[in-house]
Amino acid sequence: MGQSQPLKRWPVLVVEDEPILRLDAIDMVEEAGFEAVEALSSADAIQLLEERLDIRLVYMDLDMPRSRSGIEIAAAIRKRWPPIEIILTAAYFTRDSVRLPERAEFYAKPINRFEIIEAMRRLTEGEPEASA
Amino acid sequence: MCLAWGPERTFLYNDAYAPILGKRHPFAFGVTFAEAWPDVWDEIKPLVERTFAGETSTFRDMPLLMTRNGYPEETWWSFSYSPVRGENGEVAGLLNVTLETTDRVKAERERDAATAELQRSELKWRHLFETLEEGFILGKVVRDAAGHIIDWCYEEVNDAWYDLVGIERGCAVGRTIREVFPGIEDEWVLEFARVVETGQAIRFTRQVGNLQRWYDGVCQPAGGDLFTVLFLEVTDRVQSDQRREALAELGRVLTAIDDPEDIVRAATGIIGRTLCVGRVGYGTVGEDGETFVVPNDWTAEGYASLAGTYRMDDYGGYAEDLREGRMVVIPDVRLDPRTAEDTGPLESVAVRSLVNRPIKERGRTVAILYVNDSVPREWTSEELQLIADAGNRTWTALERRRAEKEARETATFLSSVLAASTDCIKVVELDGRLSFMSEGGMKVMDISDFNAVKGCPWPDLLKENGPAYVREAIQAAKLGETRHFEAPADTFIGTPKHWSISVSPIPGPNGEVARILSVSRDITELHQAREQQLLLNGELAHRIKNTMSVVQAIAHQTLGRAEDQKAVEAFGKRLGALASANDVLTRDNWSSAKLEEVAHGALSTFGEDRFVLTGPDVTIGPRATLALSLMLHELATNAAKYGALSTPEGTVSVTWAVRSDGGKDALDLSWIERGGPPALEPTRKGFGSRIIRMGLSGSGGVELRYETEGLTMRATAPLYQIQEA
Repeated sequence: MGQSQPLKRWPVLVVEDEPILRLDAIDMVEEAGFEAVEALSSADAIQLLEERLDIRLVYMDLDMPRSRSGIEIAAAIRKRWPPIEIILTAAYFTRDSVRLPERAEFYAKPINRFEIIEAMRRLTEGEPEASA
Repeated sequence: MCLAWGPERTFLYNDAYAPILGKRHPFAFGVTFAEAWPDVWDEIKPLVERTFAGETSTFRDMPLLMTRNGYPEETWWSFSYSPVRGENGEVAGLLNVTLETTDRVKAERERDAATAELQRSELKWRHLFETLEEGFILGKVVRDAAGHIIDWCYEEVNDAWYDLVGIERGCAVGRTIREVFPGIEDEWVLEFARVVETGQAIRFTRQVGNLQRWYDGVCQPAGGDLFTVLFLEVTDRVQSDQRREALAELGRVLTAIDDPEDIVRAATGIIGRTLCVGRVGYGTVGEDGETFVVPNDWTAEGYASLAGTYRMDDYGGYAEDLREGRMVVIPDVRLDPRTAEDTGPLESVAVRSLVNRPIKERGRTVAILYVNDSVPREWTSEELQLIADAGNRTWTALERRRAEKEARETATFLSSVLAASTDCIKVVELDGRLSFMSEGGMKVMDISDFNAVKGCPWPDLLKENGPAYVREAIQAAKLGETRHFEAPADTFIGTPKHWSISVSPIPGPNGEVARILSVSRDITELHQAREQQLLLNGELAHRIKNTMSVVQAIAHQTLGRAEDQKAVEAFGKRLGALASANDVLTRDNWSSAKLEEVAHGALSTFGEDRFVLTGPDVTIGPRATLALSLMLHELATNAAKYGALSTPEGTVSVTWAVRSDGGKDALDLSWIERGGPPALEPTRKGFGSRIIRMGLSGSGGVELRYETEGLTMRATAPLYQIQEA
């Protein structure tokens, strides 16, 4: 993978409360050629987004019962940081049963990691280089 | 007296004789006898001479034609000529003592003529009396010591009377009515006694009890203790009146009585009394055509009841007639070939003569009316007609009662069913307004008085989609169709409930849809449980898929560094196919799934525009759902790698159908790739290959053809296997 490895590894925020899934997601993000930033909850995610302004993509699991509804967080992110791309996954929902924020993509669990890696690369293509 | 004296026969007479002389007096005094009676002298001269010779002659009622008053008249005389002797004993004269008897003789003659006339007349009357068709009695009352009339005696009776009452001629005269007819009704004595006592004639119509004959009569006083009675037998007329009256009474009774046994009792009684027979019974023949049940019968005094259960075969010689519906009329069981052989059983129950009237319905004998008598009897056609009529009417009345009772019971039954049902059973008019609600329905709807909702538009009582469903269902019902749906509705006091509602047409008398029946069942608990289950299922599906994600992550983390990255990918995808099957199954609680949805779920990740799915609505079980999902996933994966999906133009058509295979249904499913490279049989048969070959039911039935145009796979399996859980 990563034949056209970007010069700078874009940070991708992984929002996942399930440890094993988070581990695998980080692996997947790195395999796609990005830098993984991990958040354990939606509150965590918002805080990180506020701190790390270079994050260009959020990969978030909607099934996080201990925090606000994942879809609301996704909507909030889209509203507050419009340029940030959003990839969502869920076991509880299907693509048809959620109202996705604009430009957000949805992949049902269990995910096809190659599909997501492909999506991450596609969404970040042509992104301007992050300023240091 | 007169005297003829001396030889000159000088005629002398006293004053008493003068009238006899008439106009001859006084000329005749002193003349000779011959001068005094010149007209009769020739006749009396010999007598006169014999008297002078000493003889005495006496004559009685001697006729003499006399012209004493200037005209000749017939006279009769009784007289004596006797000699009167002189001193010497010689006959000196003749004394004639005369008594004219003309008046007496004339009276006697008139009497004799009258007597003769009377005798002639009497003869004439007696002849009339004897040839009279009407019976005639000259009777004389018999009194006891106190002078009270206690009986009467036949003084004269004509033959017609004997014939009318049917007793031997001549045997009544001189006997009293109580002797001739022992036990006769007192009226026969009392009424005639009244005629004698009052001198008033009476008319009557009466039966002589033990002769069963009826008479019209006139009784007239005949002077003293005598009276006459003129009779005409009117048995036929009276019986005809009685039969008519009996049928009329039967009609009244049959409509007035409700209880079937009472109907039979009344009908048989009327027939029995009218026909003066010994026994009348009515029984029904069972469906088997063999059992004959007589609930009760009418019997005259001295007859035993035959109520009970019999077999038609018990009627031996005439059972066939009864079965065929032919009326059996036997005047004398000893003479009828059907019974003559063994009359014992019949005669033991006082049956010497009988009529059995079968009543037929739809070609089958359903009831029998029987009439028995202990003596031989000729049945008149009128009597048989009465029996037939009465039998039919009784049957009809009983049938009507039975039908009415059935209708009443059905109505009671239906209303109790309605009342017992906890469903809300409503009748809705075609305009959608409520016109009836069952008792149980009012209870579940918390309605205490139906008037509170009567006439309300029914659709308005429901919520959410309910009103729309109801309107659609009413339209369907008007077209004769039935609809089922579920909808929420609050009870009358506002308790929210969920209902399963069935709406169907109620046909009117001419088959047109007259009204609409709605049956609503409270499924609130079921609905809640179902929602709960749906929630749980959703939760379960979510957890399963979450677990699959975790499994996938573990697999990746475990194998991710391994050489065969492709295996990891294939694993992930298969897990995805499993998850899609899981999704489809979750929709119907893991009991079944629609084949098209299963195929769609399994193939969607390969690009929807590449597939053409064709087939009927088929529901398959959970095992087949998993098998089909994995199988389609493998086929699609292969097609994407080597087949039709590896080129932009290639397509796959998935077709399925149910066909009958030797009485059992089988499902055929085909996968046909076109527009791709020629299909090549793989050299290596991995897990994917095996999954495909396991087929729809996990036990094969798969045919794979690698053709130049592309791969063709045909799978078949019995439908029941596909559909079982």
